[in-house]
Amino acid sequence: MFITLLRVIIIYILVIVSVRLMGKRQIGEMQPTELVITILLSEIAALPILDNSQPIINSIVAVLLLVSFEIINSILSLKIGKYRTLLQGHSLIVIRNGVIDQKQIMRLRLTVDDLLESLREQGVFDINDVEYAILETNGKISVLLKPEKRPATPEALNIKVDDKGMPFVVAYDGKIIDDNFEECNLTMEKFNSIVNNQRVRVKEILLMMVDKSGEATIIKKENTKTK
Amino acid sequence: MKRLYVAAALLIFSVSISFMCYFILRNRVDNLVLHLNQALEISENGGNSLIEKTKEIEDVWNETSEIMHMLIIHTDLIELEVDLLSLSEFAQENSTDHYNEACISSIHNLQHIKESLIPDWGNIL
Repeated sequence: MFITLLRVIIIYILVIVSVRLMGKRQIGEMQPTELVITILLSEIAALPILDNSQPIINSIVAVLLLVSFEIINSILSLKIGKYRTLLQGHSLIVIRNGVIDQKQIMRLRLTVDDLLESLREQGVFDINDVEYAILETNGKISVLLKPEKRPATPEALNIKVDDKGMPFVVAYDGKIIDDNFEECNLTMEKFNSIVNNQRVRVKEILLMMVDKSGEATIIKKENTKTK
Repeated sequence: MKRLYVAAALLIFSVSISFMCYFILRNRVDNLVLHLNQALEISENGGNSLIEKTKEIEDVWNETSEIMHMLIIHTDLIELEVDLLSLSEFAQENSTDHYNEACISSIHNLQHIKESLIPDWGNIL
């Protein structure tokens, strides 16, 4: 059992490092090749954990090789367009002006049910509302609605909207996160003045967010012990 | 580009480890086979130094087994280990036939291991 414990620790570190090296693309929307690599990695990592007679070094070398191939592959895909197309294919239009491209969906082995399900997932229940539906290389469907069916935007309605920007977390669980100060034009003096105005101490803050206009939202911790 | 360097470093590291393991294992196996052949020769000629040679083989095996267990599936080494560890018993009992049999079996096992490491098409496919 002690051997298993040590093997699990080694494999755990190896997998964490590998996933970290492969980047966030792995965790988000995966391309088919990335999905295959991820499944392969999990299989290879599981082998020496399940069977102590398997040399762990074989798995380590295999995982490191797969990770390096994946990184090189993703860099090549990024730099060389033709290579990317060869590997990932093209995005394909499956609906044009409310009409399903039947040849295309036959070629993609995509059923009408799958297509309708993907549309419904995006809040589109009537195929006639769709101007374009595009099957992306990661298997998801992007939808562009017909102009008359698109949600109204302030621009379309000629309404001027104040841009307060995105609120950033500047304090969390009683700790100041000064990394985000620059993003919301905040200084330590400003921060202190906001906190003092709200009559709250930093250690009592559960979450504090500030946007570019300087508007702050503070959520205090419940049952904060105060001296 | 930083990521590319990391990938290249990993690739070089993995390939180096593979080559290093292959050459270390091949040398260790060759060394063990050499000792076994010498022991076989001593046994067939009825030499007096068989027990010392067997002790030497055990020492070489103890050094080699660690790296072998690191690189080869452990179950593939059971027969070899049993044969090699029984040599000293056969040598003390003067059981030449059994000793020679165990030696030959060990040599065959080691040669099989060595052949299975060679990166030829037979092993790859």
